[in-house]
Amino acid sequence: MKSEELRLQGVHKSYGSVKAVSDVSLVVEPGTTLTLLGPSGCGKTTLLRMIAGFVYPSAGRIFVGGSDITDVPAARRDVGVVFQNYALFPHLTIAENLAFGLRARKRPKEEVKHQVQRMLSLVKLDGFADRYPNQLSGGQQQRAAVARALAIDPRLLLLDEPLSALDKNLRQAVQQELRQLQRQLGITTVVVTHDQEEAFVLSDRVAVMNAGRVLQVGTPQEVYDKPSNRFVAEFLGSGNFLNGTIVASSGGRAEIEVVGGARFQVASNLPPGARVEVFVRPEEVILEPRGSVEALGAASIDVTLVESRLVGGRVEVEVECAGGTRLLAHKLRQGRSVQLGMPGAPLRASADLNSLVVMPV
Amino acid sequence: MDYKKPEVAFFLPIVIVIGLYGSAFFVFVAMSFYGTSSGGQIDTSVTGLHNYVRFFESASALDGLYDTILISVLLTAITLILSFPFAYLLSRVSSSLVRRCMLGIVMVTFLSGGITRAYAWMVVLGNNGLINRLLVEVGLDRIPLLYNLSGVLTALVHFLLPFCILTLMGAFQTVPRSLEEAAASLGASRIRTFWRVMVPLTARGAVGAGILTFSVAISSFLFPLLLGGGKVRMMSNQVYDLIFVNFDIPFAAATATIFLLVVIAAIAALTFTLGVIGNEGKRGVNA
Repeated sequence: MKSEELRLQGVHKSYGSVKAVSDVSLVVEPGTTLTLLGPSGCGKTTLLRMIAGFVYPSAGRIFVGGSDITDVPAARRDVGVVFQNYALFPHLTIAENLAFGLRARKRPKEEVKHQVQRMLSLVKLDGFADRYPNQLSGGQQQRAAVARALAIDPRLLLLDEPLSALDKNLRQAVQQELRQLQRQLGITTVVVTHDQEEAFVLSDRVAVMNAGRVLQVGTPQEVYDKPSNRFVAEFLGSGNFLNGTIVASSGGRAEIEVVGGARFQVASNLPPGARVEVFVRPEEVILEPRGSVEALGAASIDVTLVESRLVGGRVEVEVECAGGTRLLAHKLRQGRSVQLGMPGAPLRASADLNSLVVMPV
Repeated sequence: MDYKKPEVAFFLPIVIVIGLYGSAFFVFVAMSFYGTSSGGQIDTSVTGLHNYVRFFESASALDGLYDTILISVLLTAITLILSFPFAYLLSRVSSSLVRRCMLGIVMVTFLSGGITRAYAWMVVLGNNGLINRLLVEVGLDRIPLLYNLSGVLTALVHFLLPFCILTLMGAFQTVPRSLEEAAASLGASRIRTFWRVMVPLTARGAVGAGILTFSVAISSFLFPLLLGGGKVRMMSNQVYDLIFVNFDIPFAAATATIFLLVVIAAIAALTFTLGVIGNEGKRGVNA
């Protein structure tokens, strides 16, 4: 399989006055997977369709392996596409589906047969060559669609919401399979999804999109732990935001005062007086009785307990701090259940300073 | 009304309507077994198959039947070929303005009256019509376009196109666009995609459209009458003449009955084809 670099340079797409995609520049390293993650209508599918060649960008260029493919029609791009509903040809058998691209390329019969066999075993559909698509289960259809896209030895593999048509139980298994296959083949892959978990499992890097723009690109851990703005933070999971103001800053460190008067130092270049939001993931918030020994390098504020709910394997605790802002904390249930007291109980919420993200408002 | 059996009340109107139409039809078929007196009166004292025998012994009647079927097959083929790309475009055009304009053209054709259209064709195709005047302008000879087969075919194809296009459009619309995109991404040209994906997946719809077109074509009456110049006489025209010119109603009834049986047989054959394709196509339904 090929491993080529995909590069988008200032790609725009507008439909009339509607901007579907604006100014997207991205690089997908050879052999890696990038996920375009965002809510429906964020432009991720349009972006994928531009890479596939189904949609022509209003501006910008698309490069694969260093060559400009912007003006190359879809049929000559050598890009494998797996569609949301697989788009298998219903009147052709699985083998004929897999052979479609090779026949269009006028490959010799023997080669086509050989390649189809190879692809069938790659996706573990060996015995299904003569079945029709509707005689296959959803998961098998998905694998057939992947095999068909790979059969042409494409320069890129594009997956549009690859798991959305599968039922939940199947999804995890297929996620693993897809990830393994991509690693094994080392083909540069772009996945579109609105599902954060899917994005994290499938990809090396994630591009979070909203309203036609790419807001942040990074490894799953980077975008989850250090979101660059509120949208990214909230789209990737639940989070807490505390309003605050920078009171002093020097040499890349800043002291922040948050609602309720608590102060702590964080890494930030913002000038004194700047209004900020301090973001922290619920699982980073530690709740303790007030007055217990404070950990070094942690920010803490006094809170009161509002409610705690058991949600499967974890407990979700809602607390309120002095200004009336509510915070959410997740605690794993380990051994005995968490005892926090009755609603109204005074507690102290703390979080490691490294887990805080300061965002300008 | 029997409270427990609402079905009876439900079906009663249908039964009455079918009964009414059916009886008119039955009267007509029954007529075909009677004789005719010299004055054009129906002679009920003679009964038998003599009208049918007469039909199959008459060369001109058989020729008429042949010609009618031949013309209808020809019409169906031409109409299908012309409708296919138009319907495909109609189902795929992304601009709603263009689609509405295209549909508008189809609907105007569909809804405008036959006489109006026949007259319009006379204006266009006549010896001093638009086309021939243009030919003379550029220094060419006139071509007889009216009062012959070509005139009838032209007008009838125009008449049949909407039936065919609208039926085919439905077939094309059931094929998801992603299948064409998949074909393109796999390296298939547009032509290859059309033949390898669109045609097989719409074959069922095409046969359906063909049946409809053929049924409408074979019962043509007005255009052969007005534009055929007496040279193109389809079965309906013959039956009309037998009733209103020859006053031979029993023979007309027999001719019509034979014609009807032939049409039913033809459509049954086509429907059978549809069934065969249907079984193939059933695999296709995987939403």
